[in-house]
Amino acid sequence: MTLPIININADLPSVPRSGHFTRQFWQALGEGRFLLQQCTACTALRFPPGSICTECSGSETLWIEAGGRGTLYALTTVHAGPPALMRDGPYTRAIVDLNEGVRLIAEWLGDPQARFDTPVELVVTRYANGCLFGARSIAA
Amino acid sequence: MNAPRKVAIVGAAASPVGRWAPSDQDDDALFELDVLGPLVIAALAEAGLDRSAVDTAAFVTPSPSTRQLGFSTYMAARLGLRCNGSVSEVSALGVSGGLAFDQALADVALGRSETALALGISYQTNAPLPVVMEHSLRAVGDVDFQSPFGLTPISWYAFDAARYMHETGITREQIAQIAVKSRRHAMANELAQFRKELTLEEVLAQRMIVSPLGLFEVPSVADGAICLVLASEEAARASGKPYVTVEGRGYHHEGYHQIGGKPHDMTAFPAARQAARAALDTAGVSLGDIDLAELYAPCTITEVLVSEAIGFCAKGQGALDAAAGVTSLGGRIPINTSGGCLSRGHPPALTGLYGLLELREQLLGRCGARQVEGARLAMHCCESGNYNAALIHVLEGPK
Repeated sequence: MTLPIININADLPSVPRSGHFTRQFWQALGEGRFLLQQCTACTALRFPPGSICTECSGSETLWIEAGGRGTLYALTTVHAGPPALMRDGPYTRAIVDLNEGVRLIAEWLGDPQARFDTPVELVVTRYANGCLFGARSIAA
Repeated sequence: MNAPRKVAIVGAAASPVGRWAPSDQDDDALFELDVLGPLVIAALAEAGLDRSAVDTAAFVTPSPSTRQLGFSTYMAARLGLRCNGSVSEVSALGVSGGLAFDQALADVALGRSETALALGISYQTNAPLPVVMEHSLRAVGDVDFQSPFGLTPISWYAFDAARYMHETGITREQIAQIAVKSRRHAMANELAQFRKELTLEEVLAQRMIVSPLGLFEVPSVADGAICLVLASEEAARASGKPYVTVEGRGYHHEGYHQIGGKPHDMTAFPAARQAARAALDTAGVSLGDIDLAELYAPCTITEVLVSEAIGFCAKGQGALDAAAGVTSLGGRIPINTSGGCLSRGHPPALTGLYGLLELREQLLGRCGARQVEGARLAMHCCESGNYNAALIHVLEGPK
């Protein structure tokens, strides 16, 4: 499933590095796909991607594509952040639990007062110099 | 190797917490040595010791704005120490102060050291805020998958607060009682950064910093300097001077950094619960025996959650107990009589040492207007991340 891509006419102050175990993630994200690693030894899903399984220390993995849907766990709005991120005022961030059982941080696109434990979808936030990911509410 | 010995805190000295780091342009500046050196001499003098007795110097790693690198060995040289135990710098975010204490404790307990210093100086207010923020973002998140989102250290506690309010129905106003209580305690603490009385209305009227937490519900930047002196209980007894002993110790790292990669209850702080159990077990006491506690809590919500995790308060009751006076001076279990991070002040890497100092002063009955009557057993807890790790010590006053 391809994620919606939101174009943002600005630079990310800090661009994530792309390395041997993460470049596939960032490449796929730029194409609207959110990849998770799955350990071939114990089948645990892993995020962020990396060289070893946190559950079993296994090193062999498959990439699987997440469905892009999940649940909002918590939100906060940062009113005192680094100047480069405060350009457009306070910003809101989310903790999202994907339906696959993975927890992550995402930009929040939408109402900062949104109710927790409600359904969300992932989106790609495409900046001039790189991509991050965000989330927004969807109908139940 | 000999069996571990019981260890005592036999001396201490500290600077008030506040904004006093010198700028590089000040040609009358007191540099790190000039602040820490006199504290070391004073702390040793209180114990009736001099520098020649010191075998261990466990420094908290100084803040990134400290110009001098190789800090521990440089400082040991300038302090005139000659050590047979160890000279080190230790750090692990907020646990750092507790870990320096732990290193000094272990060296004395194992007989590597007769006298050990746990000490540090932290200048936080002499660095430009954007530099401090950029550094802290990288410390409290995965640099590729979390830091780019701009989550400052306290924003993780803000998530906790938002989630806790959602799950329990407890309001920001109720949680903010922690700030009022902390200030009331700090008013009687000469080391405290903020000592002017504070009302709930004032707390709630401040501008938002990380919603739902406003300016007075999060810590200010602060500088600090402190030295604790440890020795074997045998040596402490022989000195004839008052001392407190370390009776228990527990540590746990839950295996997450801020949040884990899997859904879990981020407000449960299981590391604190587990470390407390281990510390109580080694001390051979139960939680109900503890007379007071200093709990590392940068934000109002953090004190609520750690009080509940350790079991001082029932789940969902931490804020209500603070409002009802249960965790205040005179209450069932006074928590953060120093004023805590919010009012005593929070030089993050040293907060653990300041907390241990408060308990030592309480157990020696020296706290005046903020004295916990009859204090005999005390618990100290510091943490890192979103309470991903907790280090707990149980102290006992004079027999």
